Amino acid sequence: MTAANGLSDLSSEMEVDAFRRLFPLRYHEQHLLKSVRPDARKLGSARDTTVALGLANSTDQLLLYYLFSGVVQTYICIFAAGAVASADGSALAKIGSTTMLAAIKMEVMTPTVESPDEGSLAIEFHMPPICSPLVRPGRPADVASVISKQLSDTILSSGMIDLKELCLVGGKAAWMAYLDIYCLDADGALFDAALLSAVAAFSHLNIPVVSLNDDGRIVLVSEDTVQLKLEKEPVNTEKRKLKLNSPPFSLTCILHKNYILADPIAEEESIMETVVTVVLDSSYQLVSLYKPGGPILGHTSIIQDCVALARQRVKELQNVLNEAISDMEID
Amino acid sequence: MASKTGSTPATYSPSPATHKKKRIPIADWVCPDNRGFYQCRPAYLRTGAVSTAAGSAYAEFGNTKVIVSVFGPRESKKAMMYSDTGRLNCDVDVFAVVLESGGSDLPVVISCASLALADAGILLYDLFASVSVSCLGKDLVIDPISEEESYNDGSLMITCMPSRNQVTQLIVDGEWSTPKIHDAMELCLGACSKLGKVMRSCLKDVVTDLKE
Repeated sequence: MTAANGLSDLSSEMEVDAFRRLFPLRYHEQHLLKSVRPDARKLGSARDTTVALGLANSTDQLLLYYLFSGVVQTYICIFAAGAVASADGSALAKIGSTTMLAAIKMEVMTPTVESPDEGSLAIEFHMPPICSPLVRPGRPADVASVISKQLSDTILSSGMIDLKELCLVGGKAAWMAYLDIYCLDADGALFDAALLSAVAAFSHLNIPVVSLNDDGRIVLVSEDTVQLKLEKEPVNTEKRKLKLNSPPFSLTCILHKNYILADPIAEEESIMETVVTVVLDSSYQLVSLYKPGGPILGHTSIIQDCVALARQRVKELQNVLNEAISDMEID
Repeated sequence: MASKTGSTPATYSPSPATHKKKRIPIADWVCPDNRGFYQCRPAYLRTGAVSTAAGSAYAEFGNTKVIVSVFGPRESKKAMMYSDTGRLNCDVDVFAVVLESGGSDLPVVISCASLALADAGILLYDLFASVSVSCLGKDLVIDPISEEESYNDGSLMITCMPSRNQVTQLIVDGEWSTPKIHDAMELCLGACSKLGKVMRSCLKDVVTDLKE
């Protein structure tokens, strides 16, 4: 490592960049020795996180001022931006540079025979080629299907959504909520940002008011149509919100030698291969623990440290989400 | 669209299936957002939307929201053939995602791509701006929204390089009379040069912000 020590004394900008490209592991380890990371974060701290909930049909809202409220560019977030006007629920979540856009569309399905009074969720995660140089068109990224399944399992098993709330007419009609999450910028901790945007989108979701028409189909109720009586479904005069029981929040950590780095960026994820994702609900109970291999073994103490970091993170994320919800309500 | 693995239950949207709205007589057409026929939507442009890309831009024209990322120049996958002179083959990849489609999507994508390429530092002959025009009966509507596009008799899209005064792309479809095409082209070229100025000032703002 003597060569690296000599190199670390160089102060000119170009050499540091070259060192970072040629010897990324050594570059990061130099920082870890001083208990800091290249972007000046402490090992256990996460990046700045923002959430914006969609507002349906707000014509004057400019979308995505949030996209640009990073550390370098200080375009102020003026509006709690309207994400996607045509979706029933939408949200934009940003952790550092990682940006996720979640959109929910509600459609009607016939419930299964085994659970006639339950609706359903269909969750999918997409990585369009704009998000990362590693994604090629026509070849979906491997990590996209992994995260898709992870999200699906986490959200369904956390019990955040009671599927019985999605029932319309027992045995005949229920809601199918299609949740699509698009990664707009992939800079590490994709699962964390995706889960946060999913929870935020469900918080924003407005279930449309519908009624059963004579053909046995469910149709949207608009102001000028006569409201027909819907069996068992109380016809509200306004759109209904979904009740979220204890939403899950997650923290991804990277393990390297004896260090635990919370909320990695893409560069850190690519050079240090051991990843641990801890998902806790709002009462700090463990929803899921995910450690897909890696050269560092998961000893009890390490896992406990990751869970402790996750607990802190849950508090932060709850604050961020509550702020976003109250911003939306003010508007 | 998400779908479950295994048995995917068939679903339908509760929105009214019959989309046949009564077509308003064109003579009475008023742009829903109170624009004049020859007025473009206000344009919001920003570069640097995607941190992982070499260059990127975000554009919002009314309800049409687009992100474009540029990756490159990077190594090309083709041309592995032996050559006795050194050869470096590079590709520049431009990807676009339409986040919300509010009409006139392709011209917005093109203009946004131009900004993204400039943000990536790719050498360009000039910026390029793109505008489309819809023919609604006797009237020409510039920068149409999706409703106007669905009612049109014809549409014309021009992409041009404003400083060089050169047209790089022209797409015309539908019913057009020759004088109409001339008018439409004039309209578009005028709008393109204005849009070019907006794009230029957007790029300048980025540089002045960096200097501060």
